[in-house]
Amino acid sequence: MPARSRFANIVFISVSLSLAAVSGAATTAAVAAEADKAPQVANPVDDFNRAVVEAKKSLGDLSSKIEESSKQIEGLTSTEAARAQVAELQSLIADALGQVADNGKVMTLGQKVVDYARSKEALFDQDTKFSAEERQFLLKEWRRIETEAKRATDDLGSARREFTELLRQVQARSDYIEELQALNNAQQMLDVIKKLAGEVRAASGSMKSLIQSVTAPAPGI
Amino acid sequence: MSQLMAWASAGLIALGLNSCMSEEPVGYVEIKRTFPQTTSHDSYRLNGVEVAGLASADPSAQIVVRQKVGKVVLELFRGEQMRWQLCTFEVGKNRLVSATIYLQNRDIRCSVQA
Repeated sequence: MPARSRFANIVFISVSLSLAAVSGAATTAAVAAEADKAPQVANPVDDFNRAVVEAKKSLGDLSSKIEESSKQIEGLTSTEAARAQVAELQSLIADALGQVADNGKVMTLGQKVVDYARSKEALFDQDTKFSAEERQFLLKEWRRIETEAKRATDDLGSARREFTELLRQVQARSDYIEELQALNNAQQMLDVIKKLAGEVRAASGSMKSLIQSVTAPAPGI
Repeated sequence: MSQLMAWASAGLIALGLNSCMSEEPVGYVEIKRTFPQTTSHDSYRLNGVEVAGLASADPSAQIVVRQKVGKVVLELFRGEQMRWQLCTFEVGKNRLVSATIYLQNRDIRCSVQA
């Protein structure tokens, strides 16, 4: 192995190791900082609310990017660039779907809130510690939280159905474009891509308002 | 100068490798069930992981889950003792695969559209 290439390898390995060490040290420091704090009781309602806020922001950003990407497609004249843009569009829609998938963070936390609220309702149904008035107040609040959490997950479920349909549509068009490429039919390929861009933009607009309407349950207690 | 470039590019490569390792490519599986699941201890599993909310007495169910790219096996478990492999398919990066679970006479069947 030439001396220069050996030197480059040594530089690469040492930089990789030092980056790994820095990243490891940062993780250890973060864990130590967490350990210094007093442990807190996990609150599924707060966790779910935070996840819904994050998901709404992320979906809003992704919707804008989807719209932007489909706008760019309409202006393209080269088939290679248009195909690359369709692949990017597919990746953006897939990311948006990932935010609201049934086994994703938001939906899992939403189910946890519903289960937690139900366990609280069962607890206060049997309770003898509080007065009847206090029990009624606590029951009413937990029922409200359960209903609002269900509504939020249902709304996100609607977003999931929309993104699923959109991904299916883009995937089918993308497969058709591949077939057209196999036939070397460049003009028809561009026409299909531009039509798809228009359809995606129309769907993206209605999804933005759907995402905006999602509200997380307000913790009342 | 060239040494600086070597350090910078090595750093970028290391960071790139780090981000590649943390984000596994995923696709999506949509599963539709078109009949009520009357046996209470039935569950559906994708590559051994239970799909929550799919086996219920509701007349139908539809879920979409994130799934690691590669070969996927959809199985029906009746308790822990009995299991049936319903279908096998490939999940591609950023792609959606639809699996429909339906009844044919009294047999539980599965059809896949990728």
